[in-house]
This record gives sequence, C-alpha cells and structure tokens, in this order.
Amino acid sequence: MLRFPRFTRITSRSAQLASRSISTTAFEGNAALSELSLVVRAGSRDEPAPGVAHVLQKFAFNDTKARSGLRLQREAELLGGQFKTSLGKENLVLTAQFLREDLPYFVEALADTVSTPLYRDYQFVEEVVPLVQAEAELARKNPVYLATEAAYETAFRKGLANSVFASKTSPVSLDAVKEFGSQIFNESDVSLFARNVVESDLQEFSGKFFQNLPKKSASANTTRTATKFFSGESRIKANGKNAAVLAFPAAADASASLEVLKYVLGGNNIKWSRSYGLLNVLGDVHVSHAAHSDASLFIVSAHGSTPEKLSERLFSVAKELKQVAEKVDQELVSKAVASAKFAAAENYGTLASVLEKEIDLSKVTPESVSAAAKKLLSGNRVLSVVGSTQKLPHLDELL
Amino acid sequence: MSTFTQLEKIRNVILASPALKSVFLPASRVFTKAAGYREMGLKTEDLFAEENEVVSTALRRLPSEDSYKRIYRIAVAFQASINQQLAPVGDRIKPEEDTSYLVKHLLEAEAQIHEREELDNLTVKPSKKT
Repeated sequence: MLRFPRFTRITSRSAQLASRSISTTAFEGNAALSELSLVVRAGSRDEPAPGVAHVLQKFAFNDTKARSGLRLQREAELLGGQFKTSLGKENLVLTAQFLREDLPYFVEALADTVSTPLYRDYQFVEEVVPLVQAEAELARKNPVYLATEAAYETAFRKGLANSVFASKTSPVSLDAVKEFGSQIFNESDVSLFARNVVESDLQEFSGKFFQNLPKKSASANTTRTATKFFSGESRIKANGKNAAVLAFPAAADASASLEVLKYVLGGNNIKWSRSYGLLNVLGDVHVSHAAHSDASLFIVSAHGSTPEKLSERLFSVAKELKQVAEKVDQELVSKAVASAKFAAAENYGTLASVLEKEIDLSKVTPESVSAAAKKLLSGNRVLSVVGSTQKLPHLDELL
Repeated sequence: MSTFTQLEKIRNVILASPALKSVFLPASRVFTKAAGYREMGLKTEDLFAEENEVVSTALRRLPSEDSYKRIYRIAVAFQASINQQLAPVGDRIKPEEDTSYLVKHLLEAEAQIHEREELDNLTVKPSKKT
C-alpha cells in the first residue's frame, strides 16, 4: 500500500457511547480545514415516489427546532464554514467544511438538521420546490443525462432506475417527504465521516449532539429489494443535440476488470490531448463504470451535433467493443491499470474512498479484460437514444 | 408601532390574569358589537391592514381553503356596503364563528422578518482571549 504523508493515521470504528452510537470514520490530519460529512444510507433508489429524495435533500440545513435555516447560514458565514449536500442513487450526503477549531458547532448543525427538521410548508413552497424544479430542469436540458437516466430505467426498472432529480410529471407531496425523512434519519442509517479532525473530539461531540436522533423504527421498511437486470431499448424524441447511451448492467462483483476496461476504452481524461483509450479517437464519447452496492452499470455515452455523426460514432463504438472482447493489447492494459490505480489513490482520504468498495487490480490481465468485455456483450444490453430517433441506430443493428 | 408579537404577549397576559380578564373581555365584546363588522360578514382578522410585508406574507401562506373563505367574506361585506345594507343573515358572523386563522401565520412571518433584520445588522465583537 502506498504511504501518504498528509494523514497521520486512519481510524475506523464505531463509537460506542453512553446511549447513542453513530458510526464514525475519521482521517486525522493537520490541515487547518476540516470536513465533516453525514452519510445517510438512503438515496433515490429508496424513495417511495419519484423526486421525494431530491426534495428531502433540498430541505437539508433548513429550519430546525433549534434554529432557522437563515440563522444557520449566517452563523456559518461568520465562522467561515460552508455547507453542501449531494444526493446519489445510494446515499444522501450532507457535508460541512470549516476551520478545525469550529468542530463542535458544525457537529451540532449536522445533528440538528437530521434530528429535528421542521419541514415548514411555506418553505416547501417558497424555497425548496423552486430549487428542485430549477435543478431538475437544468438536468433535463442535457441530452446525455436524459439518455443515461433512460438507460438506468431500462436496465433496472425499479430501485436504481429512480432518477436522482425530481420528475416534471410526478408531483411530490410534503407529507411523503416528511415520512421519508423520518424513515431514513435514524441512528442505524446515519454515519459520520470526517477529515482533519481529532477523532476523540469528534466522538465526544457526536455522542453529545446526536442524542435526539431517533432509533430505527421496527416498522420502517428500508430493506432494498435485490436488483434485477434487463435488456432493452429506450428512444426519446427531442430537439437539439443527439445523445446515445450503451449500457451493460451486471452484478457488482466482477468490477476490477470492468474498471480497467473503462480505461482501456475511455483512457484517462487529460485536457486538450488525446489519451490512449480506444474510443478517444471518436471524440465526444465518454466511458464510465457506475458501481452500486448490488449492481454495476457499464456506460458508454456519446453525443453528436447531427444524428448521422452520432450513428457513425455508435457503430465505431460497437466495433471497438467487439474487438476488445476478442483481444486486448498488453501495453494498453498496463496503461489502464496504472490509470485505475491513480484514480484510487486520488480518492484516498476522501469520502469516496469510504463509500466505494476497494478493488483488487493486481489480478487483472488482458485476458480477464477481454473476458469481461465478452461477458458484457453476451449479457444484458441497453441502448437509449435521445434526439432524432428515426435516424439513430437500433440495438440489434449495433451489437 | 406595536407588532403582532407584542399584541399576542399582551393578550396572553390578560387571559392569564382573572382580574384583567374580567375587565377586558366584556369591554372587547362591547367594542366588537359597536364596531358591527360581524354584521357585515367579516371576522376580526379580516380587518387587519394588509399593505405591509408581515400581513401580505402571512396571507400568501394561508391554506387555499382559508384564503377563499376570506375573500368570499370580504366580497360579501363590500357588496353589502355598496348597497348600504347589512350582510344577508346567512353570511353574518356569529361570535363563536369569529375564530383565528391568520395570527399563527402572522407571528411566524413576523418572527422570520425580525430575525432577518437582526442578522442583517449584526455587529461582531471579538471574543476575549483567555
């Protein structure tokens, strides 16, 4: 394992405190800026209706019993701290960044926002809904996003299929948001991740301030149903740019070879230069590998100004994929493994390293990479296209 | 100008003390009867001047049911006033119907606006080093 001088010690354990136990992970370091993230193990895949998780995310750091959202914001400004939230398919993450001497204040703020949120109806109407709508609208303008979401929906149908953003067509009720919030904000599903803090301090404060966080209720139905995979095609007619996503849903385990395959095809993104990736010569093609807890989706997304250009790209992508499934160059694989190692090292000490599973790259060979590609092509396949669908290819024409 | 928050405090003091209550409650009944707005079909809280930030914010936040009923009462009173009449018997407000629907929102709006004003005019004093 590589040694990093920035963090002196890694500790990871559950703090068993007098009455409450919130699991905490701390990376102790000496930097002046601390980061504290509250990770809720529930994301859009767990929401009861489309958009509920997105609305709940926007309610974070708003009014609580202890203080109003405005006061929290202004006090954080005085202390020089920042709040941000991020919602994924698996997790909702509330993050605070602050100077390291202000730890108690920000632990309390995070504890408050999940323990005693008020969900005021006028705030829902006046602040939260416009924000949700603006974000969702912005996302919908991106054809690649639309195609990716359509691919998710086709590949998984339920759970992981849920979009992170609220949908225009299904309104969200405040009661549903309150209900979802009370279900997921409990001491078993919430954990803390911190960087550059003194761990004993963090445990002391989290024990003190998370007293009000409810225990997981026995009736709460938060078990996830096992993800199933499907093949299919989704074609959305739209104006403007054309986008297409070729996606391959798979079980979560074979991810090391897939991670390398991602770099073999997509290279690493060096700005203004062409990388070694096989698909890089095509331009406007992006390869990603979304690893979820019980499934993974290997995504090749492409876009083009005209449907003809995009079709050409898609056929080239299909050709390259078939070739990779036959044979991959040893040199290319070693470059890709190096890139994958770099990416893992880059994540070291960040929240991503805690949320994502560690993968063992040592056993990846050219044969295993082409075997993984072959398995993808013979497994479930999904194509989604957005734009002038009549001019874009169908799945059976591509693969 | 007295704010709704202050008025609410005064009201609570009066209601808490039997002596004050025995003076002010009958007086308020006499006043309300003399004012005659219930005969015009209005509730007390319909009379609050709405051309200020607090009341207009509170009115915006009213549930639509309450808001429709309020506008109906005002329309009835307006029509009756034009006709130089009292409101039709069915539309008059009985004392027990004159319930509070707006004060909750007024207090909330006032607290919010007051807090924002306070935070906008903060003075930060450096803490004493020990």
